[in-house]
Amino acid sequence: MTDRTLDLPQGTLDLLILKTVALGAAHGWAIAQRIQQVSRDALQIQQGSLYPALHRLERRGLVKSKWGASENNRRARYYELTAPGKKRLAAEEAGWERLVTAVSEVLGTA
Amino acid sequence: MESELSEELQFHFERQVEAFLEQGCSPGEARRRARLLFGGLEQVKEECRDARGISFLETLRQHLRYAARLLTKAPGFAATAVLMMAAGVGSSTLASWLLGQAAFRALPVKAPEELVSFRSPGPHPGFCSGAQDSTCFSYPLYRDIRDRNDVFNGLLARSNLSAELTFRRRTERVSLELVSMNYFEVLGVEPAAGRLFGQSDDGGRVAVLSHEYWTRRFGGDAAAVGQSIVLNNLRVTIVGVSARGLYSLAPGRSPDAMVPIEIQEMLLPVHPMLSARDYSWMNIVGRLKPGITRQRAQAELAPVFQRLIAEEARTMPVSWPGRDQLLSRQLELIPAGRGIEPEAGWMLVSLSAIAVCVLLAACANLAGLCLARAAARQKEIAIRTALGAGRGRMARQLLVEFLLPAAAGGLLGLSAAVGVAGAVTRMAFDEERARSLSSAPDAGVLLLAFAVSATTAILFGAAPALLPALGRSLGVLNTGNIAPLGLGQASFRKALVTAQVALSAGLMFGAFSFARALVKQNMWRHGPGKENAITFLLDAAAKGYYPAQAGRLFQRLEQKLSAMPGVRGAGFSIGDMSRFELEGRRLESPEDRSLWLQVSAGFLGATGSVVVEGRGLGLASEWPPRAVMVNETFRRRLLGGRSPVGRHVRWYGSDKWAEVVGVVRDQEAAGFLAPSVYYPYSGATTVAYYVRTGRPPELLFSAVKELVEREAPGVTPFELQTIDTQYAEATRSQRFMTAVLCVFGLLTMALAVVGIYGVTAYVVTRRRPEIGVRMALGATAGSVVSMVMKEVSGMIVWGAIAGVLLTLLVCRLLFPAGVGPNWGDEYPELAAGTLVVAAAAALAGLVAALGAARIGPARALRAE
Repeated sequence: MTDRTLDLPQGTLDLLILKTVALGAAHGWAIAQRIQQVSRDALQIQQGSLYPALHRLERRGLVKSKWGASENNRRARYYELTAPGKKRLAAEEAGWERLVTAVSEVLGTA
Repeated sequence: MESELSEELQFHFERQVEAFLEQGCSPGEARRRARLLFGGLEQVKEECRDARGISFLETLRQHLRYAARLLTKAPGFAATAVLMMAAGVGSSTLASWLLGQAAFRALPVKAPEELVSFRSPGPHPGFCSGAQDSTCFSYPLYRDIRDRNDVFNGLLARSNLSAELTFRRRTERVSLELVSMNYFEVLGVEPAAGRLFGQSDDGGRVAVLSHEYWTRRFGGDAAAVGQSIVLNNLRVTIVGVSARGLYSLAPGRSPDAMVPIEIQEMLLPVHPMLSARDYSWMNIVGRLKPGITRQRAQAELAPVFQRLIAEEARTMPVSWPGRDQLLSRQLELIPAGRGIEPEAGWMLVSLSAIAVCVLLAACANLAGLCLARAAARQKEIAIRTALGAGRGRMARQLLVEFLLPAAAGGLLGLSAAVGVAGAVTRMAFDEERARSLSSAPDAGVLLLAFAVSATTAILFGAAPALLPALGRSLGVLNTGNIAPLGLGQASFRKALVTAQVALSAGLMFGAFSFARALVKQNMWRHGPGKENAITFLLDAAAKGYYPAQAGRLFQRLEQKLSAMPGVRGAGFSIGDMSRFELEGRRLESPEDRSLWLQVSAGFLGATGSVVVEGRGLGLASEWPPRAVMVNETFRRRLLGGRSPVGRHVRWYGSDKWAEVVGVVRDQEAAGFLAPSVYYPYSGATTVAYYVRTGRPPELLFSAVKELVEREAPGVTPFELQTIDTQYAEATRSQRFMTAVLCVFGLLTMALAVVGIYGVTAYVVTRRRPEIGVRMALGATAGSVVSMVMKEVSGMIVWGAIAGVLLTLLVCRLLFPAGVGPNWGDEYPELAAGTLVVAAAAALAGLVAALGAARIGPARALRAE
């Protein structure tokens, strides 16, 4: 992570990846780009954390991968959400909401 | 996997480079910045791999590679372990395969579970011939039950007969099976060629060849069907060949051809047996009607059987003592799906026991070796565990290290078993039995046998091998000493070695026992008159000689043989084990039989028998005999050494007593020594000649053949061989067993000895500091040695005790009294076997202990 970007709390990377591929199958580069774009450069994911996370998610069955042709006709591995992944995403999102709300309230009252 | 990961990461890298290019960097700059951003590629790969987790196969491959590497670094260990496992698994596979064939294989007939055989223990009127008395019945009895029952879908009868078969001018002795006309129909089998017996063959002169004989003598040629052959003096036609794999209902027999019973009197007119109620020679087997149980059939047949038995009793003289017992005989129906009283025989049972011992010894050996190596690798294991290798992973690693040589040995053993099966059966059994056993290997049985032995190996061997993984490892790293973890391990290794000592003691006992029996018999053989002799059999009845004619022929031949150059004596005899009565003693148990031999005038002289008491036999030839002689074994076993002269004996079923007039020195007959009764030749039509010569015996063969051909054209001598060959044949099984026991006994003993040495050396190493301290404090070398020997002696003593108890237990279980070799008075051999193993083990331990004494105290303490 460079200086300008934020440190992700643990486990959040998985959530981000799941959300990103929920919008459609994507390869590792595209996922990283998307997260960077949507967060307006606040979050830059390096491949050192991205790929292990992707592989971990695949082992747990939350995403599945497939080789395909990329935009410039090179071979790339695409990841897409599975049904259990979808459920997991919903659960994690709800959990995140609750966490953020709770932390904000505490900070708000401080 | 690997290349995909690289490709994936490579793609990401290139997109990163493109992004930098778009931002305006030069290609070189773009690549440099991208590489900086990327960081360590290998690290990322490693993390991805970890994240993925490793598949089971991957792990297994790693374990195997590591185990294989360890093995190649220690070829001695690998070779020993693999070979021992091969020996263990191979021999138990082979033994259980043979055992299964002999005792458990169902007959290849239709619905074998419906077959029952007749059995009725008790005295028989008149003559009884057959492997087992209780399953022999007379032909009239068979016929009457066959025609008067409601419970069978068919009742067949069978018996053996040896005859001369002539085909295209070649004559040979064959083993025939006389069967009732409905034999094949009741069994429900199909022919392999031609046809089987049918209704139209009643009384017909037809024969069905066995598949084995057809392949052997006729080359499997279909043109054999329809040919005519001459059996004894009778011309019969071959109508077909029976199915492959169908031998006989009697266990261990492999007949060459089947002929109908009804032609018995044409085959052997000299001894008509079909209408004799006092000749029991047939086995009877029936197929129960569906829905009828054995018990019900038994109950329904009982009255018929009683009536027929009563008729048979009437053929016996009034004074016959067995009458009451005969009349109270019951008929039992025994399941015959596997044959008539199939039994493994003591040989196969012993082989199985030996194989199990070898297998267990091999497992103990392998487990001990694995433990020993693990002990040497204590540090390595500790480090690996400390670095994070899970307990489970360590256990799996050690398990694979044990299983790899075990599996390799097992497969080697399996192929060896298949390879030597044929040779082993031929070495271990006589020809006919061997033929009936080594049929096409049944893959199913073989695999089952292999699976059983492999599972045993794994269960007994893997458990101790896993031990090192289960202990604590901390102590090792700290002190560099093998202390806390070592304790449990050492006891286990000691237990394993103790087991090996016990097993090898048992096997050595067996080796000594058999060897002694052989040596004893060998000594008999080289008594006076035993060298340089030949023997042959003549069957005069086959060519139509009646007893009186046969007698004259035999005596003429005896005279002419004696007159031949180089011949020192000639005589003939024939007989078998019979029940009899000894005046003044009840002889009830089946072991109370004697060999009743009718002998010619020249027999005792030719065989060099010495009269040790009383006088010789007269020339009077009659049945029942008036005067008999007995041998020393008879005197010893039945009369406790007291003189039998003047006492009376009676052949079971005869009504006249004979007086014992003399005692003759023992001589073994064809490999075994039995109490014997000798009486003058009284009309047997098949006799065995004994001709002693001063020259090499083989020189007589052609002369004998010519002489017999001249004097009795058509009668051919068979089983013409030297006495040495006959002895070798008769003792084939025993010699095989002795060889097997010696080889395996020495093998397991050697391994036990090596094991003792290893464990003792290990113990010494473990206690090195202690020894150092003791010696520094003034202990002598002697006391150190004795301290170590105390440990060793524990193993040896326990091993010896366990070995003795185990051997006794196994012998009692497997060999009920009277079967097989006489185990009762084998205690000297038991002691000898145990002592030999104990001594060797003690020696090994001593050598290791002496190593302990050579440790200087300073060095020992420094090792701390």
